Amino acid sequence: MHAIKDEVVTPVCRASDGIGYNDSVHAIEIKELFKSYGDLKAVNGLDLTVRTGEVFCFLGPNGAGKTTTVEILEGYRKRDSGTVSVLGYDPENGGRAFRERIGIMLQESGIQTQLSVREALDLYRSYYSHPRSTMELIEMVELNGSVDVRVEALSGGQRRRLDLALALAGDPELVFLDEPTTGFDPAARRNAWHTIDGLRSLGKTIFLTTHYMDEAQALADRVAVISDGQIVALDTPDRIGGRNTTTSTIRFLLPSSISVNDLPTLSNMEHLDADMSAEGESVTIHTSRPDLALYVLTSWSVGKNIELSGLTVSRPTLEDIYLELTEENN
Amino acid sequence: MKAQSIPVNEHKYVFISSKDIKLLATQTASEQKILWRNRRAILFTFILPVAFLVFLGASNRGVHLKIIGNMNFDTFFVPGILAFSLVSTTYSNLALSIAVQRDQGILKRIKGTPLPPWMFFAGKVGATLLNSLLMVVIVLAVGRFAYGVQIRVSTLPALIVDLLVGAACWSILGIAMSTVVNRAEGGSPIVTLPYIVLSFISGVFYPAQAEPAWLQDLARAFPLEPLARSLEAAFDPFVAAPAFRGTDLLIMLAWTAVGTVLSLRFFRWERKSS
Ligand SMILES: Nc1ncnc2c1ncn2[C@@H]1O[C@H](COP(=O)(O)OP(=O)(O)O)[C@@H](O)[C@H]1O
Ligand SMILES: [Mg+2]
Repeated sequence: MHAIKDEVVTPVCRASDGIGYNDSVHAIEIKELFKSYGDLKAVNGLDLTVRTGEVFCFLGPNGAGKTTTVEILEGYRKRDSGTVSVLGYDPENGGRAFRERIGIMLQESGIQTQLSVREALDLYRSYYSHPRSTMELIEMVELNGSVDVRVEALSGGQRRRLDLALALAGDPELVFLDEPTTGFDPAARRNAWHTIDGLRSLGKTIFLTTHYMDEAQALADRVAVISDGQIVALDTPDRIGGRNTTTSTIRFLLPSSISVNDLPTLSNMEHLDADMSAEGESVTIHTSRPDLALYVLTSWSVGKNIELSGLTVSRPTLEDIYLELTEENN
Repeated sequence: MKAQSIPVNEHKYVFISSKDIKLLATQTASEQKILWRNRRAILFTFILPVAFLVFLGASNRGVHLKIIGNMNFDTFFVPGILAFSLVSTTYSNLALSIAVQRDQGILKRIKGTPLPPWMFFAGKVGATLLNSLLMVVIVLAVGRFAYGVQIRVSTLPALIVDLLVGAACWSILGIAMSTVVNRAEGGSPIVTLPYIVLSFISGVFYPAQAEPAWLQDLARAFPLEPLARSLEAAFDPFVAAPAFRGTDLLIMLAWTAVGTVLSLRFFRWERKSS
C-alpha cells in the first residue's frame, strides 16, 4: 500500500522534467471553444494546450463543462465555434486513423454484459491495428481473478476497471479519462492511479477529468480548474491559484501557564508580516513567511523551555484553492 | 484549422482487405455469442416460431382450407411460419439488440473505436442472417418430415430470392425501428406489437380471405403479407414454376428503400439525453 502511494505521489518522471514530451508538438490545442445547449453556455470561450506526454487534469464541479469539452475532443459532440486540434486532427472528422491513436473512457458507457472480461477485451482489441495483449491489459487493471467472469457478474468498480482496460486496448498515445475513479473504494483508486502513472512513464498523453482534489494532486502535471465553462486557473498542482505564494497557517496550543500577551511580537522582524489570533487555548498565525515566524516563535519557546503542543504549519490545500476559485466565479 | 495529416480517402473503402474480412468475422461471431447467451432473445427469436409451427400444425392435421381453393393446411401454414420466423430473426432481433445497446452506451463506446460504422452493421446483419438460415432449415425440416410438405426444386430459385429480399427488407426495418426506441425497457412492445398485429392480419397463421377487404388491403401495404404470399406460391403445387411474384417482391423492395432512408436519417449512436 505504502509503496504504491509513494510512487503515485512522487512519479518517476513528470512531463515537466522534459522527458517524454516535445514542446513543439502539442497533443491538443483548443482555441476560443464555445458550446451551448439552448440558453445554457456549457463551454464558454475555452483556450487550452495540452503537451505531448503530460497528464493534464480538468478539475471542476459537476456541470462545469468537463464532459462537454472532453466529448468535443473525442469527436462525439459538435462545437458551436472555435478551433480544435487533437493529434493534428479535427475530431469532428477524424475517422479511423484518428481513432487508432486515441483511447476513450467515457463518464458512462456500457459493455456487452453477456461477454466475459477476456472476450470483451479480445473483441475491442480486434478493432485496432496494434493492440496491447489481453493478459497485459488484465494485469494493468488487476482483473486477474475475473478473467472468465461475465461482465454482468462484475461489481461496479470491476466494470469501471474493465472500462479503463478497454480504453487502453489499442495502446493509444492519447487517453481521455472522464472521471475514471468515481465510485471506487480507496484501494481501487490507488490502483487506478498507479496504472495511470504507469502510462505517464510510457510517454502517453493523458487528459483526465475529475472532481477529486487528491486525484488531481496525485496525478496531474498540470491542472486546469474549470467553472461554468471557463478555465479559472491553470498551473501545476503545487502552484495553482498562487498556492505556493499565498499565506500559510501556523497553529499550536497555548500552555495553560501562558497568556496570549506573553507570546513574542512577530511584527518586529523584517520581511515578516504575520497575523495572530487566539481562540481559547488555540493560537492561529497567518503569514507568508512561515519560516521566519517559526524562527521567532520557537527561539522564544525553546529559550523559555515551553512546549508548543500541537504545532502545525500548513499551506492552503488544493481544496481550499479550488473552493476559492470556483466560488469567485459564481 | 491546423494542417491535417490524413490523406483524403484514408477511410473510404473501395477494397476490403483480408484484415477487414477477419474483423467482420470476429464481429459476426461476437454478435452470435451475445445472442445465444441472451435467454429472452432466444425465446422470441427461436422458441416462439418453432412452438407455433408445432402446435398450429398438430391441431390442424389433415385440414383443408375451403376458403383458399381447398389448400392443404400444411402447404399454407409452413410458408406462413417461415415468413413469421424470418421477421423474428431479422427485424425483432436487430431492433431490440440495437436499442438495448444504444441505451446501455455500447454503441457510443463502439463509435469511439476505429471499427468502421458499416462494419458494425455488417456484423449485426451477418449474425442475423446466420440465425435466419438456421430458422429456415428448422422450419423446412419440420415442414418436410413432420408435415410432409414438398419442397419443389423448380421453385427453389423463387424461394431463395423471396427469403433474401424478405430478410433484407425486415433487417433494414429492424434497424430503422431501433431509432424510434429510446429506452430499452419500453422498447419491447413498440418493436413487437406492429409485427404481431401484422402477423394476425397478413394470413400467416390462418388465411386472411375472411377479413374485410380494407383490412386485406392494409395488410398488403406492409411487407409481411407479400412475403407470406410469395413463399406460399413457392410451396403450392398448383402454382406453376418458377413462381416469382413480381408485385410482392416490389412491395418488399420499396419498404427496403423506405427503411434505408429512415435509418440513414434517424440512426443515433447515443441515447437522447433526458
Ligand atoms: N446533451 C446535453 N443537453 C443539454 N444540456 C447538457 C447536455 N450535456 C450537458 N448539459 C449541461 O451542460 C452543463 C455542463 O455539463 P457537463 O459537460 O456534463 O459538465 P461536467 O462533466 O463538468 O459535469 C450542465 O449544466 C449540463 O446539465
Ligand atoms: Mg462529466
